[in-house]
Amino acid sequence: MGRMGLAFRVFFRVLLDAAWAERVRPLLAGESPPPASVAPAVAPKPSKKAPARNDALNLLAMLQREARLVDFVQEPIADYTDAQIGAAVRDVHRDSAAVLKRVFALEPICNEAEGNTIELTGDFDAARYRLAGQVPDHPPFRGALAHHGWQATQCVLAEWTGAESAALVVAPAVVELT
Amino acid sequence: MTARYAIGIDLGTTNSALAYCALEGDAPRVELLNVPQLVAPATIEERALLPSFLYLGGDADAKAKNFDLPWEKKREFAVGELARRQAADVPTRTVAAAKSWLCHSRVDRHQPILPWNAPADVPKVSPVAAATRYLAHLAAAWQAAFRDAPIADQHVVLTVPASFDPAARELTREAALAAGLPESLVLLEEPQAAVYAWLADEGDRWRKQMKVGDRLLVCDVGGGTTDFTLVGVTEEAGNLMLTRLAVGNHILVGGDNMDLALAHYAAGMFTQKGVQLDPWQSVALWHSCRAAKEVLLAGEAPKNKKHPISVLGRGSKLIKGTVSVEVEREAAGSLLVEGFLPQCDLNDGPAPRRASGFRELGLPFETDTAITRHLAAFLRAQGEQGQAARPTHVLFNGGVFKSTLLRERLFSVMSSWFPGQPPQGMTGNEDLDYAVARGAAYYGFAKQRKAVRIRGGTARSYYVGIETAGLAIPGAARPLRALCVVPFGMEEGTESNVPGDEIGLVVGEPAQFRFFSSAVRKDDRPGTLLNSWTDAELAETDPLVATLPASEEAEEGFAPVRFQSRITELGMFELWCHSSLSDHRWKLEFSVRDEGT
Repeated sequence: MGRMGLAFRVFFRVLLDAAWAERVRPLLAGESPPPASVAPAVAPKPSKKAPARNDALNLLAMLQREARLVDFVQEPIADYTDAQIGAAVRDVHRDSAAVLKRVFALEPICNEAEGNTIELTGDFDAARYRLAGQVPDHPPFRGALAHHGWQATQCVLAEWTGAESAALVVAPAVVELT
Repeated sequence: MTARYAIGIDLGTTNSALAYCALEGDAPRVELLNVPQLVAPATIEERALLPSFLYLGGDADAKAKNFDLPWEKKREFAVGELARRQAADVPTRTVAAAKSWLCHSRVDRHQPILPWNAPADVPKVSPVAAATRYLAHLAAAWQAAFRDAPIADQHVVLTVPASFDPAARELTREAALAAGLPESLVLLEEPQAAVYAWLADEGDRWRKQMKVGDRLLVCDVGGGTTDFTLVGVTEEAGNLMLTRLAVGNHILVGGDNMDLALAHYAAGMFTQKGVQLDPWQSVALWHSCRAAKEVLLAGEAPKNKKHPISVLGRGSKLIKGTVSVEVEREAAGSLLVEGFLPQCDLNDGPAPRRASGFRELGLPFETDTAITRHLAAFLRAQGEQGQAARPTHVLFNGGVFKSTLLRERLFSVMSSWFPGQPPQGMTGNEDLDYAVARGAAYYGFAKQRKAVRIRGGTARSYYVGIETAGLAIPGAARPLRALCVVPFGMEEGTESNVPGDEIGLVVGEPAQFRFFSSAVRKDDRPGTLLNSWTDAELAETDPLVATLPASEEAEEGFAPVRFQSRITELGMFELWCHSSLSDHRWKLEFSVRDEGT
């Protein structure tokens, strides 16, 4: 990140995050910052046992099982015509969307139509809105919505109970018996 | 322990669901239970629907803990989504449509006959056992979510097709009890459950929408079956009441037939392109057509005149192996609409079933898939004085009717039958996949609270076959007469002593009675004796048997008895023989065994 970018990020974070601002203050005075608080407010619930495999793999296996997404992305497509790719992509697209809907129930962050002008007041959440273009010094910020953003309204992944030896399997090999 | 919840279970041909409703409070809130189930080996997800499929694995699966569930380990079988997916890959080990077999009286439903046509070395289960496993899964899912409310202590309502005969209801109940559901289990007809779901949504507003004399047609097209029910609005002490007037015959046509019809059409186009589909691709095509059907029947004006249907390559080379055809939207849409809901006359009827030996081996699927012609026949049969019954309102049920195109077609056909007096569509019940389970839970609540209920009693009259006395003629069966034992509309919790002559029952060996039902003979009373009837009037189902002990007082090997029929509080049919010589009585049981007929 260039220094310009860093300067902007520091500026906004100091502006919006009071606790973080207090940690930056000694830096400006030439002192070393205090250590970040390490004790979480609530101790995490001790899980019964370590998950047998990573949730990311669960999701990948789900997208392959239900939408063949891994097959689709892994296949080199340079030699196929658009029509050939199109024939496959409709099904992969439909089924991938169904998985995302079921797991994350995605919704736009901003319900305004893209292109419409929106205004952000001083207390807007910088994690939910990213400013781009000619950014002035002070809010409120007025600009056109370039992307409505996405947010998950849930995260419901499959629970995996398999053996450790299968923890890395995304899709098993299939053998057809006759 | 007192019940805290009303639980409604929809045991469907292709999907099952469980809904529940807390009994406390005055405003019932019906919720759906998310059912944890295997979606792949060792992978559990919660889904609102439990596909009614059973995959019979083996030792290897149990050892690998592939089919472990939170409540049971080392299983050799799986039900739900995993089993449904296996139907494509391993059809000979996957049980489907077990419910259709439950009411198929030509097979012994206690014998392990499913998967149908599977090779001898493959494990098999009976239709009753398969239904038990689906229900046991739902019961266990409930228990996992509500540990402090044992399902055996709750008010459980299980739905059955209105057209299920008493033997099929008995078998459903048997499967439910084996699955751990309580003895107090109530069976509710699916179309009625759909009406209850509507009532749950409407509250007391329904009294404004309907008036005395109105007739509501419930048109329920499920995955594998179609059911018609007519509900009338009557008045009692100034209150509007709902009374179930009639139910139709069991029609084995449903949404799955539409998918298959479209798949045949698309397969023909593949053949024209010179593409031969293998068995795996054919099943995959069927699944693609299910999705395509929903798009084609959605009723929105399409931008594209063509709709692609693809079968993805099976290997990892997905794009390379994908084959596809483009069907004309209009042609494919009309194939479905004209094939299943054709414009027809109110005097039309379905083509008769072909009686070829081959067809009797599997399920007796309908020869005529035209649901409108079946409907015309139903309304005519329920009419009076030569006039067909005219519904004033229509309530749709079943996922098929998510399609506006199909709903509109049915309205237009019925409008042509009753010019100037078209039926009115009922709004509500938007979630057609879950309406039956939700309605069943609401009924459980309404039953406890004495809230609005649909009355009606039995939807059929029942008869036992009595052989006439007289000289035996060699080579000819004795003439048969039908004795009415249950009149149409006999209420739950009542019994009837059947008047008439005593019947001589053989002692010491099983006595078997042929058993008939009628959806159209509404005026017969208990004791009415029919000398002749047409096939359209009386339908024969599973026979009844009783064995009287040989020690009983008997005259020349015969014990004189009279019949007493009962419809229990739970809606179950019972027939008893009372001895005329003593206080003894014996219950007649349905003989669902295969008698080699």
